[in-house]
Amino acid sequence: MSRFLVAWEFGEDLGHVRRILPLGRALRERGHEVAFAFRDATRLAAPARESFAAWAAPVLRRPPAFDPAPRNAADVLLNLGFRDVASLRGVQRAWDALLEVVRPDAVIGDYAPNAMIAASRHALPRATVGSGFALPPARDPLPAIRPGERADEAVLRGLDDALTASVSAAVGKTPQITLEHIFRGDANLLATWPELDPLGPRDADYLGPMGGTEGGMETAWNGAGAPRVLAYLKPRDTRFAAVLAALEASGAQAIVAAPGMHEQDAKDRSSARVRIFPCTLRLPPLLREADLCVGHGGPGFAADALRAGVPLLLLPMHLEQELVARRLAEAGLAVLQLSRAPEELAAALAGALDDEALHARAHGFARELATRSTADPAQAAAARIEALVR
Amino acid sequence: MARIALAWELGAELGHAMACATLARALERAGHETRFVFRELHHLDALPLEGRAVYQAPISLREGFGAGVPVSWAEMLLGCGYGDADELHGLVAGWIEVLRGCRAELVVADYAPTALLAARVLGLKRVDYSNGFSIPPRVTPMPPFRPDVRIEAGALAAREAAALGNVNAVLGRYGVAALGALHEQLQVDASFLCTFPELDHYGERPRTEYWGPRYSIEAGDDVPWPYGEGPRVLVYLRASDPRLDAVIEALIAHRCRVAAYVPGLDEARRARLQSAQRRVSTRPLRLAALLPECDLFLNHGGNIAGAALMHGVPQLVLPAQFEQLVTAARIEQAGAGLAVARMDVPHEVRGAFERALRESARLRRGAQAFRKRYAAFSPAEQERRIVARIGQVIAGKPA
Repeated sequence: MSRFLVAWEFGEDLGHVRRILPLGRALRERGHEVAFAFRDATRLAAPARESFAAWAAPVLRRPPAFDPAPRNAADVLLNLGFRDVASLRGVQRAWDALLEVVRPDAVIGDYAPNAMIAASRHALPRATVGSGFALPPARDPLPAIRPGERADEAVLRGLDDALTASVSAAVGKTPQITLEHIFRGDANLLATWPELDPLGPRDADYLGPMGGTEGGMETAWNGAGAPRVLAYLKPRDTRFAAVLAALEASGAQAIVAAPGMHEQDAKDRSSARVRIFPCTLRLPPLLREADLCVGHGGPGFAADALRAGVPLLLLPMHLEQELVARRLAEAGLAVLQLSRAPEELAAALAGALDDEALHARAHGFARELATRSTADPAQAAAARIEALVR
Repeated sequence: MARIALAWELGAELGHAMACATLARALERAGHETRFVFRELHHLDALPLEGRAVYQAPISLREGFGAGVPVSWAEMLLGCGYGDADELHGLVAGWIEVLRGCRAELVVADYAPTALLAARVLGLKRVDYSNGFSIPPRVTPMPPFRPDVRIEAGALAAREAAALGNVNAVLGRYGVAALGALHEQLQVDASFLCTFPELDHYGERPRTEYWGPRYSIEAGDDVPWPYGEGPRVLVYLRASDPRLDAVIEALIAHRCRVAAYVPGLDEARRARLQSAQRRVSTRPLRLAALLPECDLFLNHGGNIAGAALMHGVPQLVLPAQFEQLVTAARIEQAGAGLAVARMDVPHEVRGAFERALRESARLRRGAQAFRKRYAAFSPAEQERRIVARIGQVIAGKPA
């Protein structure tokens, strides 16, 4: 029996939880002990309910300014607080304390660079797991990620150097922490498909998306119109009202999951054809009869839709989502909508609903997915992690 | 002897962490072992913690998201994860894990209501140790703390009921008896309300023991007052305060002698402020050496304001959040200082600064009167009594 610490440090929302919880279960089924450390401690009820050790992951101080279009993976981390040496030092110290108590045999990071650095300093075996965004291809310098821009090699290398310099200033030079320690583990598990990999496709072993949506409120389609659109939206997105209006105008029947919305607000803005729910929904029964999904480009919802053969209209809110959306658009499985103008949104929705080729490709992709490896990605990942400590 | 976890969950800045670190040293001298669970980790270097273990406190990263400034304790909790039973369950689970992990036997809660819930679930002894704002009166309904906002009794009660409902739902999941009222969350084996009635955010409370303000003036770098003529001004402000530039210009214009602690100060402004007459540090200063000769103390109205009062030093308070705004008002009421209440009107700083220098004699009298009223107060004695009382709690003895 071994002990594993599974850490999530960056990224919002449920995507990380829905990936690492099944991984933890798979490790436990194999007889190991698992502790979780979550960036968002308000999500710890899920592992605690299953009697996993449930820690709050140390978090960096939020930087005063945020660049929404970082140039490469190093720049992303600098943007997320890695310039702040005092904060880095404190966070590393808190990981030391946590590792001292948990005493893991290996550390698995889902976008958890500080956990990876701490594990390196403690000479522990390490693995990464994720959707691909947190795992840049191992090139020097780390490759550019800003869409449509060819970045200068020297600029990229400067960002890489700034990142390692900041980490060295925080934790010292022995052991020397390199980009390899920060971003990559002894095993790197890509829990996605090449079509969905924001930094792909690449020469790597794709395990496939891990876990599905768990729980959620039950609801059902009714006879209030066709076609059927299932939307998963952030109510704080500035396009939210325009999307609702476009759905209303399209003549479609829409079910909108908008977790975080006020209940009364959701009720007030719902109509016979467009029903808004201020919570997560149980998606599989809805997806089976959906014609189109509308989302922001989170890989979890996109994977659910694609497995069910439903194409997507994607309205990205941040870089990772835009990269996912671009990949899916390239594969002809989604329509990427970057313009924020309400009339263009409405036109894109109407276009996506009418595009028969889009729907045919999504159906075809779902059939093809079914023929790909049948191994459960969580079990496959658990087996590779286990191999690290043998 | 016991293993004691010092927990800081809510509120910003160095004050809570510094107070915990200082108390911990006294507890260690009494033979206890200490662990720290802190909300913020970026200023550990500025604290007398040496190699001690520090854990991340479980907190909501969406604190206050979509909400205005809260008007009551319940509303504040609702914005910090208590608005949803699952989210609160997550926070409590995180606290249970860390308290178990460091094998705590007693929890010292400094503005740490969820740590108190976890300690209740685990059956640990617990005390609270904080200022007036963080230790609200234990009454129903819990009183609103914003005199500037009208709130209907019904709305106040509804928010308290919502928070209590979620607290009880989570306690129920752990098989712990429901609370009858939200303030029962704050039931402790000993309560160290560290303020004076005049500074209490909730106004003077009947039948409450005040332990006096907490501040430490002995830790920090030794920086002497510069030689020269100008007024001696001590500055304890954050670099991110939008009024800082106006403060710097006023200090220069009035040829002040300055000892300044400005964490996070950028190079450009440091160069502007620094001179032979104006010492600037990014580490805390040893105030014991500076306060006796200080003419004016500029600060945000945190714990350190209590130190200024107890040394009879006039203050210009620049509150950066609501809790400090109330402290600033109390200091003005005591005639011991002036306040620049708004953050968004930096030009008001200069006028207030000039007035504080002009009215220096009056403000000094106000501060000195305060000092005389509490002449018997001694931080060392406060600390000794707190450590002794914690020892009694551990031994299961009544107060």
